[in-house]
Amino acid sequence: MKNNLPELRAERGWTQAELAGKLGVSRQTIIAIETERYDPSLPLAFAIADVFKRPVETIFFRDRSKK
Amino acid sequence: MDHIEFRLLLRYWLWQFGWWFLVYLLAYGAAMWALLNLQPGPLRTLLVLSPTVPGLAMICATVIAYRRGDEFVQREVLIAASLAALVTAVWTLIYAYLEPLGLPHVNVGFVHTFGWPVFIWRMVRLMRLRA
Repeated sequence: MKNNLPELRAERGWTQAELAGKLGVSRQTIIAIETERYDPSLPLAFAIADVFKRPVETIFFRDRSKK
Repeated sequence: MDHIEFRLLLRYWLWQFGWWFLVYLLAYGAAMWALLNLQPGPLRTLLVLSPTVPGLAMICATVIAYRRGDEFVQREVLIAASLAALVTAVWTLIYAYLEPLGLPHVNVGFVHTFGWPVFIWRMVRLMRLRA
């Protein structure tokens, strides 16, 4: 799954640590999501959407190159 | 739990686990020495049983880190434990057939020394994750 978390975070001027703090997760989790090494659970994806005040489908989307 | 606490948690785990692993290796050496060199008695029993204490402490430190971790940390801990178990299983399976061919008989506790480094490698990799 692809995401535009780095861009959204940069728009707000937040560090990975700050975003992690807002979500109550580790910085490792944010790094893993941003680098697409980890797809978050639905509750975490919705929590991320809430933090950015955007619909979840505008942050996470399918990677069309993968089946 | 915020990100600073998570970082401290992982550092705490590495500190605790690292020390207990070192104690485990020393206790394992002492246990093997006692088995080969001491006559049955309280000291021999104590030394032979001694690796179980650091072994259990390593497991406790990991369970604490797992329970306090977030979903990604928990997944990584499970992957690390699974890989360690896999390496241990493969090593045990192969050695079970190598031993009848002439390799020395080793204590079952010896297999831990192959599984734990894999587990530590995965956990350190998690701690050092960079963007």
